[in-house]
Amino acid sequence: MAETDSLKRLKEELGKLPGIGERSAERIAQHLLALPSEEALALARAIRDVKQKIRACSRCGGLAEGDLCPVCSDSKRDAAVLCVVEGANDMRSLEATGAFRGVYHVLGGRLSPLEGVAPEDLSVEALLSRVKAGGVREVVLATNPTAEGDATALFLLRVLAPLGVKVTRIARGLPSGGTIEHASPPMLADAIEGRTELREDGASPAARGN
Amino acid sequence: MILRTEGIVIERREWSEASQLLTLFTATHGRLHAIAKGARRPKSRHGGGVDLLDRVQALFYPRPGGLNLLAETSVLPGFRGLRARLDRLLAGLGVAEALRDGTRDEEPAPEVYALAAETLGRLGESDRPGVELAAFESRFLAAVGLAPRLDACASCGGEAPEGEPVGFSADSGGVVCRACAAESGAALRTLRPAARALLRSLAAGTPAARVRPDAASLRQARAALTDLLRTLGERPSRPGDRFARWIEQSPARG
Repeated sequence: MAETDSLKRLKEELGKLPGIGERSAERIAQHLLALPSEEALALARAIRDVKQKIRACSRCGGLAEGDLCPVCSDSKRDAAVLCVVEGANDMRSLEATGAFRGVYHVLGGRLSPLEGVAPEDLSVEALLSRVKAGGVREVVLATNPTAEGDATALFLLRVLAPLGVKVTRIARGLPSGGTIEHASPPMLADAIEGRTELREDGASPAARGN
Repeated sequence: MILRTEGIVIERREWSEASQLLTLFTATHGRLHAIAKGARRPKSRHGGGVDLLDRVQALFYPRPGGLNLLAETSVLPGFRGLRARLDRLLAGLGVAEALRDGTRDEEPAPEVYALAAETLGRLGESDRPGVELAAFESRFLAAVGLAPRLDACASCGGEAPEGEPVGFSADSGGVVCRACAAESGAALRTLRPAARALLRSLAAGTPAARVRPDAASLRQARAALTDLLRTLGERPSRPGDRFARWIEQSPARG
């Protein structure tokens, strides 16, 4: 069937998105075609805005529309507690919990000897500069609990320790809602090793440690 | 037909939203590339995904000449202490790197698998992971037919004097005499006598726990072994070296 160039191009572009195959691209393209112009163009504007306005926060490397991201701009955040994450997505996930009131530092990846990602490929120097500038009491290493995430955390511990700052690692083990029966041996071993005291006053281990 | 094997994860890449592309070094099939579909979903048959240096029991559908399909993986106990220290973890990744770059697809090498599994197990408790890694690399090179020549010049077979620093050439496959070193024109690595003795000791199968090299000799011996490993791979350089170098040069190093 003959189709217009613009529709063909739209389907080609949609087909490049993750999880979108030819059929899905066709369906979405037809849907956009059927939408009122204003609604379809709102999507186009949103995509354009994201690409034109979003940049790396000059302080933490997270996503920002101005110079600073919403977290770094928020004077109520505790700048003395600095959480190091691999990527901006991890920062977003942690923010969604509402459990962390400190600020972030986005590394831009994780160290990977096997893939040739070395410290100079990440924002390690910027992290050290932030800590050296003073005012940071604790650095929370929230890299992923993978071999490379662990290597990154252990490396950061090595370079941060001489600066006299408290360095902590996010807890690992069983996921909330999970079951012991279905957990893998490493998960269970982590859970056992990282067990915490249960208290009736409900104080969290992190709160007790501070 | 579904096959069962035990393996070590030596490479891991995310593939689409929830799948993983894995390279395993297995006890029965050598190096094996496989896809674990939906592996990162918590209730998948891969337990939420597997990680580098995990020892796994794997069920897979073989696809000769293509990407094998992992039906199920379960992580087996072992190698746990690796992650407690940076030097252990880096040495473990060095083992993975050697297996990834120095072995061939689906070419069984049970003795190499046993060597790697034993080394990773020991590394988890080691206070001197660098020596363990050097011992592994030495035995691994011997297993793949690349043991360095240390008794005489690897280039001409002539005498390579003992008791003094000597050149080492990975291209020639071992130590080289002064004449061959001069003839090659290239800047060769130098091995001090203690580093040469360490390489000999490791080549003779002395367990890592029984050798006590000084830091400079260990560094020279490891550099020589690394040069030899580099000649094995399709990749021109060993990226892990870059990582280790940064740590050595780090001003904050303890």
